Amino acid sequence: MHVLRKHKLLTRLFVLPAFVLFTYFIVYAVIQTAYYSLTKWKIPGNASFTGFANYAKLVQLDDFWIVMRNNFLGLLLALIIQLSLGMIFAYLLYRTMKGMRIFRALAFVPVIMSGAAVALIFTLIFDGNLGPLNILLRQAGLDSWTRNWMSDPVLIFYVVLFPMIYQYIGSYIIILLAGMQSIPEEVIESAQMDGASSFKVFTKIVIPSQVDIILMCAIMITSGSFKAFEHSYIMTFGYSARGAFLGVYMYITSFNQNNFGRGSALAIIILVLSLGFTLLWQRIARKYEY
Amino acid sequence: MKKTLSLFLAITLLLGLLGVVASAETKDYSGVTIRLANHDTPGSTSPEVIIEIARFQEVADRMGFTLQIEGVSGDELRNKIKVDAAANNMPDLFKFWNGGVMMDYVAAGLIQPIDDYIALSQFVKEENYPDSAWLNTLYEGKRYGIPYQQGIGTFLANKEIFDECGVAIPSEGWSLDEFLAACKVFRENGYQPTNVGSLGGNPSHFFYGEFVCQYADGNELTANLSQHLQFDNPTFRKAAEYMEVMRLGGAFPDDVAAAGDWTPSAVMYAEGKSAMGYTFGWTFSNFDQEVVDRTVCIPLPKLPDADRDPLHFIQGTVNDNYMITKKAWEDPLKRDCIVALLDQFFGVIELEAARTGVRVPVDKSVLAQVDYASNPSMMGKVMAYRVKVGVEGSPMIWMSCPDTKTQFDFQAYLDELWAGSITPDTFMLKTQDSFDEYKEGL
Repeated sequence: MHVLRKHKLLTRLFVLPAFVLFTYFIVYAVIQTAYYSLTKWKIPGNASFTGFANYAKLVQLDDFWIVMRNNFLGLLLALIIQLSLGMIFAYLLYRTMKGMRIFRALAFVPVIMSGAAVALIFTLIFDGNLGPLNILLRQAGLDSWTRNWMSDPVLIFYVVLFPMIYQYIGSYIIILLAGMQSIPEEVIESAQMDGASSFKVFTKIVIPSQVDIILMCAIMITSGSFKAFEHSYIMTFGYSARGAFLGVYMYITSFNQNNFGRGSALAIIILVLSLGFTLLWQRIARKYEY
Repeated sequence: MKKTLSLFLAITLLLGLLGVVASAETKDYSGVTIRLANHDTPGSTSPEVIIEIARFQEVADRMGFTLQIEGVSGDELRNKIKVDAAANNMPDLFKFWNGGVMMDYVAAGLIQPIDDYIALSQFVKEENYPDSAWLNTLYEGKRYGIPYQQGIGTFLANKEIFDECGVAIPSEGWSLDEFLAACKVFRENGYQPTNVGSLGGNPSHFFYGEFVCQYADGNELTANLSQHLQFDNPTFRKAAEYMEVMRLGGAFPDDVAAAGDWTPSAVMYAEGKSAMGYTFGWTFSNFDQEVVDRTVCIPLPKLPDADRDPLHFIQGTVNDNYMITKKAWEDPLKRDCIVALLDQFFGVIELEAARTGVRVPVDKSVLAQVDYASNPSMMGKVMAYRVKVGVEGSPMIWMSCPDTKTQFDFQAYLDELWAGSITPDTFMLKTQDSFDEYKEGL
């Protein structure tokens, strides 16, 4: 360390490869995408500058607003469900004396599965013609509950969202559990000796002490939500905006509609939203820093 | 003078000898790699794919070049070619679809006109192809694709379900009302009436096209769509409205998206879940002999105000081509390999595929060598029906869309129409918007 401080040139030399790679693959790529978002670009062919026409066209499209609504509603539901269930399950695991490791491993199993595989499994489950969900509902005498899950214009959004939330909830359980395990045991014990119920311990000690971790999870959920792709794509192929998220809409616009200029505009919108929300969460998190 | 003449003759002889030696010299193709993009996904368990890959490989082994097959299934091949084009890394030879989707690449100067190949080919002879086969490969008077597969549409009835439900097989044709009445009976008996779902517009866009072509101007409006660009016209609109009538009449599967796309819809029919099946030749591998035996070909229902009887036509013209990249053709060694590969395809593979009922070739000389009447496969049954009743292929809307975007939008909006999330009016307006956007870009 001392040698590096002494020889600035050597320091820069070590940093150089990472700097070059980051600049080329991230900074240059973002700048290039920003430029393409201001062009009309069909493949094969060259991009021609059109100013903000892609952005202007996007805001006129109903499908764009459907996808935006999907993203924001999806984010809201993911925050509510994944954080609340994540906290509850993490706390239950935290208070579980026997078999905690097994339950912890089980909770994490969906996380390590491929998103495409999970999406495919749920595509089969939700198949309204031949899928097991409708068959089970019928066998349970709940015929009126059966739906055309994959075609229903309202339900398709929730059908796509369900496996997304289900798959990643395990990772938040593990993160929150790790946070809870850092709470000194004597704090919990003294609260219990004072007669605090488990619920009170959860709401008055555990949650307040985990705010920074909860906020970190919120950042992860937010960035994950704007990156969402594989579940929606595998389950719907993006043909209808009603089951699509921004990532899928960007892909469809670029590749299937062969409109790489507009697709780049969507990429920039995703980048701005992700950055904006991450900064927002970080600002909130700063208030709770010890 | 004598000396000069002798010298001249000697030099001429020597040069001639050198020429003979040079032409007899075997070319070395060991450094050549040919990239061939098609639907032959390596690792596939499909017998026809395995055979096709092996046949192509025979050529590479014989000549000593390296063959790299870049197989991508389904419509994703379009995106692969798009990415390759963007990266200036086009395959040397590739399978592609006719019409608007191929013209983007032709217009960009990436594709070689195929006349030069035909001149060198031992198997592809112009006179063996109907004039109509080239129509959707033409760009500024030149041909850019070698047609190889006809789209063979068919409407199938499961005899067992028809008998069980007491519905007569409509061999001589039926009206829309009769069709909807039958759909009701099938539903009452716990069957899905048809397998016509919609995912990415498959197979719904062909089904929709069937009804467009029942009107007097349907064929012409479809075939010339890329010129007039007026998707929202009275004929297309009427057909869309009838799709809504059929949807409300319960003709389509419950979950249209789940039953959509080629394989799921074919499987629904094959498993006996739907009484009728609308499909194309490329799904026939899903039908085993038991399915073939219980199937009869039937006509589509005739609309009340139809001008043309659907008994005698169904969607399907030339659907696929092989295309040669210009850059590859300009390399003399690669050119030899490409000619050999294409000749293997059009001279050997096509005949095998036709005989086993995998495809219906466009080449009349190959077609003449296949006896579909005695072929026990689904293709045999369908082709025999077409000959017996006199069924002709009708033009397809997707092929007449001017570019990838209009085609994609048309098919995607059909999904919404099928699901009931948009009305026929909105379907027409949204699709026309897409065509208008294309017009603005011209």
